[in-house]
Amino acid sequence: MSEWENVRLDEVIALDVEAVPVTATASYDIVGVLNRGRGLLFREPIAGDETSYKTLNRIRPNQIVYSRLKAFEGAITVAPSDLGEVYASQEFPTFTCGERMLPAYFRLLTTTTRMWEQLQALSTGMGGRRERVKPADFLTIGVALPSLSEQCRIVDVVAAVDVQIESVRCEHECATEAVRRARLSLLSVGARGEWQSEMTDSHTSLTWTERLPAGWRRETIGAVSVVRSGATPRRSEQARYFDGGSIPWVKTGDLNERVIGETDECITEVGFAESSVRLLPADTVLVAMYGGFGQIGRTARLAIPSTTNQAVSALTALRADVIPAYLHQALKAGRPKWRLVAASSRKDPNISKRDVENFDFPLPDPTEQREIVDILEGMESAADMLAGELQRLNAFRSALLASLLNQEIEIPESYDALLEGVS
Amino acid sequence: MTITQHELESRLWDAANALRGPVDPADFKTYVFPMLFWKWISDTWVHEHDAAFDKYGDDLDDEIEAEFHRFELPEGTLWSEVTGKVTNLGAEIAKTFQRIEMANPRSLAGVFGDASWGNQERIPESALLGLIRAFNKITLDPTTVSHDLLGAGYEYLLKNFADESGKKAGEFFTPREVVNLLVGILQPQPGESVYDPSCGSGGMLVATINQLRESGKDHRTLRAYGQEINLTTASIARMNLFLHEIEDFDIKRGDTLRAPAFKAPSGAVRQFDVVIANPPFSLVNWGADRWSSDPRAICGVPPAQNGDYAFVQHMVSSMKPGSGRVGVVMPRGVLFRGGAEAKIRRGLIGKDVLEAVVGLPPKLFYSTEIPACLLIFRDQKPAERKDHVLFIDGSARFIKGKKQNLMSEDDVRAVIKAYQTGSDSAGEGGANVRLVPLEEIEQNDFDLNIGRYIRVAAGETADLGTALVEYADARQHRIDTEAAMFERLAAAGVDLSVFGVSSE
Repeated sequence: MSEWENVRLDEVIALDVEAVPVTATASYDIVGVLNRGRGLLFREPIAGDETSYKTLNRIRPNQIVYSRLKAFEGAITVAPSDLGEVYASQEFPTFTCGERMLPAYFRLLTTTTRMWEQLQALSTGMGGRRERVKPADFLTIGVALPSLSEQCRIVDVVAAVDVQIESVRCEHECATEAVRRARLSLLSVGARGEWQSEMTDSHTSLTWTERLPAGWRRETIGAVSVVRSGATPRRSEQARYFDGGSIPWVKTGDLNERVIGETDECITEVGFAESSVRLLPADTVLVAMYGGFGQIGRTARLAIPSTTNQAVSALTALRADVIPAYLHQALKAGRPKWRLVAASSRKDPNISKRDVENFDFPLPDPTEQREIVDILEGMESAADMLAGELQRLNAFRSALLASLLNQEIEIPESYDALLEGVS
Repeated sequence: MTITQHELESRLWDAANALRGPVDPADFKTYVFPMLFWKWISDTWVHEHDAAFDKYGDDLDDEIEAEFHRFELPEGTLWSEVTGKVTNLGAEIAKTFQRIEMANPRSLAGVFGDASWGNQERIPESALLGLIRAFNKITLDPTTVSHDLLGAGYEYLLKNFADESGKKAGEFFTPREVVNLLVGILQPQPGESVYDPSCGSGGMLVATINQLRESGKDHRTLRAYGQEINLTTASIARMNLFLHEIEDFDIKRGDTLRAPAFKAPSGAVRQFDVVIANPPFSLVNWGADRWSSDPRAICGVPPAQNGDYAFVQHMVSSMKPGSGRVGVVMPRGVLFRGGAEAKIRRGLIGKDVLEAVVGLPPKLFYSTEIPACLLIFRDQKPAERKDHVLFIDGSARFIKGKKQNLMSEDDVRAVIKAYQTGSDSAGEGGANVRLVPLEEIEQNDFDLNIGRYIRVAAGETADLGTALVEYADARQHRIDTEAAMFERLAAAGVDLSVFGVSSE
């Protein structure tokens, strides 16, 4: 068990700013620093004659850099070792690690809440206005310093977890894309034909296949269901209408493309009685009409009876031959269509109840609807599992790093066999 | 009196259509090809007989006559002698085929396959008569129909039968553009031996012949070898090669992975200049149990539930030292799947025999939605390609079809050019190409997924098949990185027992 030495940062790193005079004819790649230790932010390059700065700070590979202004939010990182030629304003001081501090190890420290709290403490200013963090103050921060070989091991273990996080993120993305393609495929050729991707889509257009599989019909939402929207009890009566309420009330932010089991907000019995909301039964399919292109067309299906606000269309009283879960999938498949409807009709990108009623979709018999839903929901749950795994893996990383930094876990020297295998 | 290719094709297609109704379209080939072949050898025999008679007149005796004939047709086995019979026509035909095969034991044994001619349930006499009537309208001797023409007609029927058979067609038909692409890449030469270990109806071998012929080289000196597990398909392949005028060929029937038919005197598999195949994708229960001691398992035994790398290794084992090259169609999964397959992949790359990976467009094949790829191996890679693998993305080079996509001649040419030059000669919209050093492949843990090395064209228009390939690759990658992470966590002293992973 080695004792880690406690050092002030100025013992192990040094301010090292390379201020470069700005030339009018040159172009500069500019970076910023993301908060909470999330790394560099690459901005648009600027031309020398476009900026009022006389000099810019060159950020070099493996240098520590922070934003004086946003340091209290944890805007600090260590530049990657393969960084190209980039610059930032003088608000971004840079430091170079001495022999006893590995840049990659310091990068780990920048992802810890301890570091962010230390920076926040330094930047608490007077009169409610935050002070910038001065380099001289920053260098007074105290850290525990493991030996270089211990730093190496810690960096290596966490790097392996980071690679895994990236792999899961990538798999989740691919799984999500596969569900989307499968949905387009199944809704254009059915569950019984051979899967084909007849339906093509892009951001600008979407064409459903001209041909329908044998026995399928084309229907509109209006023909198979009743479309209604909800309301918002007066916000000015927050205490009376919202506080302590128990009736679920859906806003577009609750629409999760899956099934809603609980809502962000609830309303009271009084709020229910004194506004025009209505209670919708479970299995109601919901679609967002307002809120910009990020929200329009977002969907969900109710698992519990609930009310909604006016931005949400509720599809109820479904015809007996339409399975709610199938209708839900059809709405998801057709989501790019809203972009055309919303953009062409009026200035604000909203869709109306009428637009929802006119939405057309292909409809097979209920047995085949069920088959399609089963395939797609199976794929969706596989994708959701990955999203959950990603979240838990991130939590694990934080916990692991904390344990490594407080020496709860001490990596044995035998670990170095793995390091040699790598280098 | 010759006929045009179009006339021949439409007559042949009419003949096949005489079976429509009582016979399942997937079985058309079982009946039409033997009848076509019989009609051809029968008409040719009559033609040869006439020539002999013209020359010798009354002096013609059996011995002289035999000189004139390529195949011996015993008395009573000519088309005209049998098809006029009114009772038990099916049984008569079966008997005739048997007699012809017995009279030509070296060349024609088993050529007619095992169709159940006498079984009225499978092929009613009315359908058989329709087939005969249709064939009666065509004379198939060399003065009317040349080898080229007849061969092309045969290919035309194969393609149409494949279209009719849907997914089942994958068993006997490889889209011709894929065949042409492989042949164009491997460039078989006159006098060389070409071997297809899963030859189906012989399309790869025939394409090789056609390519030589078209480039003005002597195709008849090519030696063609094939093995095929399905009896009917194997006989279709043999007829196919006869019609294409190949003198020296050998099609054997049997299971290539369990019992390879071509052996060297040493007992090892025989080796050929060109080895080319479109094996069945991801075959299950292919006989892994026997492979632990099989010398073909050069880099390991593939999983019992997936025979892809069994075919690949069989083919690499069959590659002649020096001149040998291999071209094989594979599902994309072989590029990145883990476990035993990852080990084999690593081994093959380590031997530096893998020359190129070519990504094909989606939906070219009858049997699968998943886009496939070509693996090209070469015993002696050119100096500039040693310690490298050439990646070519041909996935955007296709014309969208209703059920299948297809590649145009230009598409095929562009990919071949990309392979030959190692660069994107077609420029914009061409095939994306890159020669990748082995170190980079090693850094990617020997994952050969094309998207890891070059930008793949698919993007926004990606179809389901491509999306599934990407998903499968990402999943495999996650499994691999997880194993690496566990190794490190365990070494760091983190207790992983909750994962069922022992910490040393």
